[in-house]
Amino acid sequence: MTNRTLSLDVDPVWESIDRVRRENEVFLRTHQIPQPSIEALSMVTCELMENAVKYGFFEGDVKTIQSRCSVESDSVVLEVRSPVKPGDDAAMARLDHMIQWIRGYQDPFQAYLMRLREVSSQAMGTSESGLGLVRIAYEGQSVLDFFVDSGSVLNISALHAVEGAR
Amino acid sequence: MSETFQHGELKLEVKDTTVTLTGRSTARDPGNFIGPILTNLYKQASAAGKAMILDFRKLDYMNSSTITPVIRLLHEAKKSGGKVTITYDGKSRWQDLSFSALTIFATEDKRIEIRGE
Repeated sequence: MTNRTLSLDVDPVWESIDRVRRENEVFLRTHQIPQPSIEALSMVTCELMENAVKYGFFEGDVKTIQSRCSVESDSVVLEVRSPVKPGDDAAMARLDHMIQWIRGYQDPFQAYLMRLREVSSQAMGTSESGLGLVRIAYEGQSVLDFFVDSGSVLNISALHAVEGAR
Repeated sequence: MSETFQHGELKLEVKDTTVTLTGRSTARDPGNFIGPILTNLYKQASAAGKAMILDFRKLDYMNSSTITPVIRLLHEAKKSGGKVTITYDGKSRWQDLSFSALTIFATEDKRIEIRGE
């Protein structure tokens, strides 16, 4: 029986993002996931991995990013685990607020439009847009969730419903 | 005459007031590369009374950080009376989802136009 989960452990460098994307794509193809879902999940992989590289805290015991791609009977779950700075409750509160805010919209498209309007009026030099998570919900058609374990490792997941997943 | 700018897998070709983007835009902060090119061209196009055209049809992928300089340009053009047209591949699912959402910046007089082709 083909393994239903692909686990990768990568260095927290920008080049790892594309490596994980490509390996996830190959894995999803072997499970005959439809191409539109593969494209959506590739984007989700990149956005989650980008956040892990950008905001992870790799100065403690955990020095890598773990990625898991699991094919369920009717969905694909992508999980990215990266360490966070112990005690950085403000960052986790912002993440929680953003995910709850997205969930507050019945249609993620409306959340995406709202975020586009907000970002458009920010100054040109502002680098953090917060578009990634809302894009995962809208364009990636995925449901986001997260928790932080006792070792200060953030586990963020995106569940993407797939018809006929094997 | 055209001018080409490259950053990683992303290529921007500027010809007259048209920017054609090809490849994949995956840089950590693509705004540092794309932003000044778009801003300069927008100023030139506006000074000449022309529309600036952003052609995304040959773009394979862009991260969410790439969207930011584009929507800030649209916002600026809407405020300052400039003309910007965005063309995308309406048959590509990801492009359709990404760019059709930008119609919130479109104007009735078509100064700002978002076109799936």
